[in-house]
Amino acid sequence: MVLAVPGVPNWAELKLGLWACVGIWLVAGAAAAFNCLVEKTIDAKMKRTAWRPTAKGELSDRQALLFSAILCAVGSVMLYVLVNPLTMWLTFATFVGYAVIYTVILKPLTPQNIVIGGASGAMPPVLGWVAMTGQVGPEALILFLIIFLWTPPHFWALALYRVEDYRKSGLPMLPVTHGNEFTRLQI
Amino acid sequence: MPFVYGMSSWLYLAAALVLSIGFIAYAVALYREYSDELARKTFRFSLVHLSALFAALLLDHYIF
Repeated sequence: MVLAVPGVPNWAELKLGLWACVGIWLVAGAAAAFNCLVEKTIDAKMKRTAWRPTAKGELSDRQALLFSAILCAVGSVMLYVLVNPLTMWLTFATFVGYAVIYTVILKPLTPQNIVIGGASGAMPPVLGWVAMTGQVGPEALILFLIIFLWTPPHFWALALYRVEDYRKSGLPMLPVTHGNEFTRLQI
Repeated sequence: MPFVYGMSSWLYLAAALVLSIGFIAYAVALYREYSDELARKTFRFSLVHLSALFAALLLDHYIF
């Protein structure tokens, strides 16, 4: 956000950035909650995620879904009204990308899950840039690419030492499907 | 990439080079001889890598 404006941001830019942060944060929270709901059975089988309230059964499906929907709605309205419509639509697209395309479709389907799903994770600088300037500048795409390329080796390193957890969960992470050595080669 | 595009200067370039060489060193070491501990360290380094990279981008933006 501060990269998108020349020099030190003025008061109006600071306010805009702050609203955008809160709005994007709310929608990101909605996506995370949705992920917890969809994956509650898988989460319960893995050490890293077994503590989640949805996995432990402390929250009902209805509660989790409602929580996610409210966060998404409030965040989206905030972005639409106080920031700009393009930021809202791109943030919503990122929500769908993470909560549906990545979590529901790609993750249980293919070891390429994090490679493609990494696109959602790489969106935040684009959203920040659009919030401040109203358009997707080339700089925003460069920042997107940096995170997009960083993502696969980052998660493969994690998956290597959590491989038993992933095997139990049934998720086709690369070390599970193609083995330890192949994953190290890819990193 | 930001250096080539002209949105940042040598400070970012230097940070990007050092961090990337660091990560490649971890990747090579991990490929040669695997241990859970080293995989965990590689994962940790990737977190530092990205944070430091963006910090450098920001610093570069204000200094130059």
